[in-house]
Amino acid sequence: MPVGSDVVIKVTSLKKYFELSRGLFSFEEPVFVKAVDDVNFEIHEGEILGLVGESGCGKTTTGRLLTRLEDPTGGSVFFLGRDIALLESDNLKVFRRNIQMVFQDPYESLNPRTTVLQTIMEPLINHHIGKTYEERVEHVVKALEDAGLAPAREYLSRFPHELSGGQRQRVSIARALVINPRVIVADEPVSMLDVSIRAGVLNLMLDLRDKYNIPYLFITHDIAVARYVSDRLGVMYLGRVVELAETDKVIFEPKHPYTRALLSAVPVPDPEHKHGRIQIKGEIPSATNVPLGCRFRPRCPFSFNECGWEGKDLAAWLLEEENVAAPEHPMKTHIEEIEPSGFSLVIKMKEGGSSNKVLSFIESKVSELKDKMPMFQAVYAVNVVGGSKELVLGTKSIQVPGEYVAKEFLEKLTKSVEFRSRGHPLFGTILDARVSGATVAITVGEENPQKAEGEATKTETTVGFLQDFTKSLVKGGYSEFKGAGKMMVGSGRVTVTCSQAKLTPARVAREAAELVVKELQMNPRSGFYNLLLTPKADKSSVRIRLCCGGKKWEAFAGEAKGLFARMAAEGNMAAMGVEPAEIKEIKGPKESVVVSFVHTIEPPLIDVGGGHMVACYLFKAPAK
Amino acid sequence: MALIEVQDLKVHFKIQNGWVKAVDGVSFSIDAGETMGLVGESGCGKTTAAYAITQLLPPNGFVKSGFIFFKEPPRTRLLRLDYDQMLKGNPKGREREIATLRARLTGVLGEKHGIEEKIEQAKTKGTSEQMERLAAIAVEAGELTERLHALTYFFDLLGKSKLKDGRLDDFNEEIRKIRWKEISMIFQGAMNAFNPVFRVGDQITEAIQLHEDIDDEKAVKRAKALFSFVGIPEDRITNYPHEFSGGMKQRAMIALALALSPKFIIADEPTTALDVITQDRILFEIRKLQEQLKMAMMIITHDVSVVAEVSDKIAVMYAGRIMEIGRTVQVFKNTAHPYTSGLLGSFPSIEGARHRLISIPGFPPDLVNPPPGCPFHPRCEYAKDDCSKVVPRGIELEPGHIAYCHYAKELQPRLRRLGS
Ligand SMILES: Nc1ncnc2c1ncn2[C@@H]1O[C@H](COP(=O)(O)OP(=O)(O)OP(=O)(O)O)[C@@H](O)[C@H]1O
Ligand SMILES: Nc1ncnc2c1ncn2[C@@H]1O[C@H](COP(=O)(O)OP(=O)(O)OP(=O)(O)O)[C@@H](O)[C@H]1O
Ligand code: SF4
Ligand code: SF4
Ligand SMILES: [Mg+2]
Ligand SMILES: [Mg+2]
Repeated sequence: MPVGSDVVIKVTSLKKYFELSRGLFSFEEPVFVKAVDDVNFEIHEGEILGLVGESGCGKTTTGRLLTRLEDPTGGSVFFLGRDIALLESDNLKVFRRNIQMVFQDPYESLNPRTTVLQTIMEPLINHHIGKTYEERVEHVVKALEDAGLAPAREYLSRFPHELSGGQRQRVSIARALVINPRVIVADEPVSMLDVSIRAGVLNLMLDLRDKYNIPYLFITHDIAVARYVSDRLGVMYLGRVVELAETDKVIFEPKHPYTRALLSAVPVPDPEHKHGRIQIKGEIPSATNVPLGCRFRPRCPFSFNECGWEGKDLAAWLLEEENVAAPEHPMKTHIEEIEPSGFSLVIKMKEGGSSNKVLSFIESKVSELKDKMPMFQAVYAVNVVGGSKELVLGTKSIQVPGEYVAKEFLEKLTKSVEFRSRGHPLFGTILDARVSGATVAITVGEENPQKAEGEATKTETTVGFLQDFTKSLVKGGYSEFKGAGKMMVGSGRVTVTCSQAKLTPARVAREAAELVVKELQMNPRSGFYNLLLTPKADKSSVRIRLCCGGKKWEAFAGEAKGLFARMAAEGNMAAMGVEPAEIKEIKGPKESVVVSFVHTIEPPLIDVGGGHMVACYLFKAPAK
Repeated sequence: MALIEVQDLKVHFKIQNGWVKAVDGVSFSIDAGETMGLVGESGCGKTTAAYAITQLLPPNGFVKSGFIFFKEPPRTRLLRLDYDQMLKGNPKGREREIATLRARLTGVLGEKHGIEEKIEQAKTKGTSEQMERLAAIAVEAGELTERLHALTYFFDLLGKSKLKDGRLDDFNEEIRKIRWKEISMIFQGAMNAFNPVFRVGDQITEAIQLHEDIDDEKAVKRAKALFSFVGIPEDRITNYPHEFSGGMKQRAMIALALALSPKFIIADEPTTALDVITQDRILFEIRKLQEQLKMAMMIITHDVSVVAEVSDKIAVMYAGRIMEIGRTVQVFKNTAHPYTSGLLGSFPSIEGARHRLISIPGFPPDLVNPPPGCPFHPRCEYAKDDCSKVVPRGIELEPGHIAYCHYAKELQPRLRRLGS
């Protein structure tokens, strides 16, 4: 196999986090999907790198990053040594021509309004390939027949909806191959093809590689296909590459526990075959909440003490296995609540509960189960922490001018509706939104002259949307936007005028609580990072509790005061309605027991010998 | 007992230069709780057959012939077959028979009241004699109705909505009630199923509430349960379709299709975008549900190993027709059609040495001008003269195992099959 040593594509620490849309119009903290989370690999001249992994693990996103259809959150993609993020104008055009992607879902990726001929001819025209129309048609026919769609002329005038699933897929392949790219990213290119046609298409790809030394990133969930085409194979799990080696090494000597489970589940085309599957437990984890330490640990049948255990794990054990919530359990009378927080677990005491009893209970369990359960081996400290105080910030009602409401409106709009991102349903309908005085001016995209009768115009869609949006804001407690329902429609523009409003003390409290979470709780530089319990906002105050005792309280009160003063000076109206902080004694749990686990980083992808890369603590790099 | 029986179905598409004969005389039946795999080359008409059953054909699709009987009681079916024998080529006779039966039925029931009401009345104030008489009437009326149903193809879904030219009426009320609630479908392109501008979760709850009278809260709970059923974290319920990966969309589609616990589900390539672990898990869950609900399933796939895992029987299709049908083991282990043999032979394996894959030589047929005789003859290594002239009839090799090849009996021992 001609595997040259020249690197064509190099990917370093590649990351892509997507911010998710939440409830209809939600103002909660943004949630991120870590679709690609620190991926590194190289693809050499003439090499086919296969990529397999669970549905939703980030394969497509990796492909889209490689082709610059998506911009990375972190890290870089280098094409022939140049960072593709920095390419501009002509260079970018050359890059776009040189790298082509076959998209996963041909139902989505083909334009429903253009015929097969137009679809495939488009890149030829864009890149000035072929001199005459006839010559271009020849190219198209050849590409279609190469992709296994014959007789090609029979299909040229068909629209996508007049084709079967597999036929569409071959049209997408032909479109990618027709301009002879230098690199191909093929995302499940043969998933809808039956074995017979599939063989033809895969052989075509192999031939192209042999002839022109074209490298591929070949994404598939079909291990048999991956084995057939790829020289090296990468296995992805939840946004990371966990194993990468020569294909046969991965398939015949799999090392990572996930790879082993994956391979054992490959079905065999035989109705009488019985499986010897390695079961992996648990749900497919959410990429919005990636486990700390090794991300495969919650489902790993081989997990051990070094894999990185979290508060969540112990919480689950206490509730499900040990059943501390059951009335007959001796700890039931002491424990009020269990709250995981990263690598720690906070166990709060009931009124009159004894923290020492809970402490010794946990300690005895740790020493008893240390040798049986790796989780207990990973416990490094158990402490009692005091806490019977809370910080109270009173709030009062304030008048805000229309300008302020308008600014807020814009902020909420841009935060919850990503109309600038290509995939968003309002992309192209709302082009821009900005504030001037007490109005928000929204620019609407040009109307499509071929729009069907009865279809809403972009302006109508926008007005309808803004009305719903305003309603939902008001419903969500933001009564200052009540006046914003008034809209003016001009050509290509919709303006929302906001009027002066009153913020109730409850609204101010809510805003203040959000500020505290954002600036103190979630900010690693604040000194109180992860040390707060979620602030509670009520009718006229915000109440905050710390997870630690002693002098920190004074410091915290000072910091909160500083924060609001700063925000008020910056023009944040809500901050102006916050009174100075007071520390109050409270009833309720006086103490907590905090169990801390060893902080563990992710297992890095390392060479465990002969170029076999694995990210798992079971495998160590061979001694030099 | 057959839950669904498809008989001689033909669906053709009108295009600029003629007709695409996408489905050209397909028959099969599926029992409650049973799974049939429908396999065959890309473009051979699998999706089209499915769309005919769910009545979602595009505007240029015409049903040229056939019946789709759904939930037909076994006695009605037998009567229907009897009548078909008796009245073959005699439509006038059928009409006469229908008219007579209708008249008798009216005579028995009388004009004014329905039989149920009469029985109700008799129960409260009637004598036992009256009751007996009514019961006898009910039995007779029942029998007459059964005969009428058989004669008029009452349980044929196509008959309900077929327009004069062969197109299906999209707005037929009866079909709309059945679709999704009783017969549902997992589409091949998941994007077909979801509207890009609405949240996935909302679309599922809406579908539930369209057919069932339940409040928002319950519907959301149900949607969440369906999400975890297909392995999508519940917190993704508020996302838009474009925020899902390919496989997540496909799984959401599966959730949507199962939302109303249908009696019959058509799964068109349900796992093309799924890795083996997820696929395994979902097929397992679907089978569990199938057992619970006695749900029948037709699974369309090109993945022979999926069929091997889940199907009780399989039908192999080529160029709009069925080539071989039978129990899964029969078709896989006692393959009797050269096309089936070719299909099984080109399956790549992760075992053994890597060698270049062989595809069935030649190209799939042009369905606008399909080959005469046996449609597979231009690519069949065993073809003889008569293959290009005479359409093969089904040869039954074992009960339920039928191959549409002139030489099925002779070829069967020589064909390459699974594991050889
Ligand atoms: N609306 C249409 N108009 C014209 N031809 C059509 C239309 N829909 C499908 N066809 C053609 O009918 C044939 C059967 O298509 P169908 O979608 O049923 O195939 P399939 O067996 O599902 O294939 P695949 O496995 O590729 O999905 C194909 O040749 C296709 O090109
Ligand atoms: N535009 C987007 N907005 C928000 N989330 C996204 C977006 N695109 C992808 N994601 C999320 O990122 C994760 C990875 O998606 P990706 O499409 O890369 O997966 P995949 O490995 O290709 O999966 P599959 O095999 O199912 O196609 C998923 O959780 C997906 O929901
Ligand atoms: S590090 Fe290895 S053994 Fe530990 S949980 Fe992860 S995959 Fe399993
Ligand atoms: S009928 Fe003839 S052409 Fe058709 S499959 Fe049999 S042998 Fe081959
Ligand atoms: Mg994908
Ligand atoms: Mg199809």
